[in-house]
Amino acid sequence: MNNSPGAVDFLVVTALVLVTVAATVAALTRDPVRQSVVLSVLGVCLALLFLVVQAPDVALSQLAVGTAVTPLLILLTVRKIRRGPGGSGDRGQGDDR
Amino acid sequence: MNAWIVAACVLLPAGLGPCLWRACRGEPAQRLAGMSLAGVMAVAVFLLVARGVHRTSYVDVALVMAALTPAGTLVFARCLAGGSGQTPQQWRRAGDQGRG
Repeated sequence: MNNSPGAVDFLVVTALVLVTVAATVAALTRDPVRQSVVLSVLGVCLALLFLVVQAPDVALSQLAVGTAVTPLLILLTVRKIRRGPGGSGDRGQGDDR
Repeated sequence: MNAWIVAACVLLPAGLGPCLWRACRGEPAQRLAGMSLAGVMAVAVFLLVARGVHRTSYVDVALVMAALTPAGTLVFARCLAGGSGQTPQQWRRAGDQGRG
């Protein structure tokens, strides 16, 4: 069925390079908001890698988790943390935990 | 070696490389454009690979990707707009005043 192994190998190597670059940038980024955007692109690249190594169910799971859920959790956490000392109405005694 | 998978080989580095470069630099709101375009390019590459290796079940991955990418972009836009100086209470108050 796999009548073009060279082209598929090129796709695998390209997806691996993209995943390596995205993961390195995500590890080196310090700001969590920017890091969440890089993590989302990393999820897309990982889903591409999983598809070209013929694991489409893993790619589906990776898409559902890595593209939507993980950056959403990071962004909601960052907003919750920054809202604390920022001066909104419902903060407590101002303890810096 | 069919034309579909050759097109995928061209589109994967030429389409996703600049998107990755754009998503790795600049302010978070500017990175959002690279992220959104990377989703669209990934849908195209998914469809080309599915056609190239003669597996129609791979189209489902492209379908899920096309459904999730606008939702993720909306989530990012909402959270980034809320996180740039204004608290959610101020947001809601401004929205209530705008509605009348």
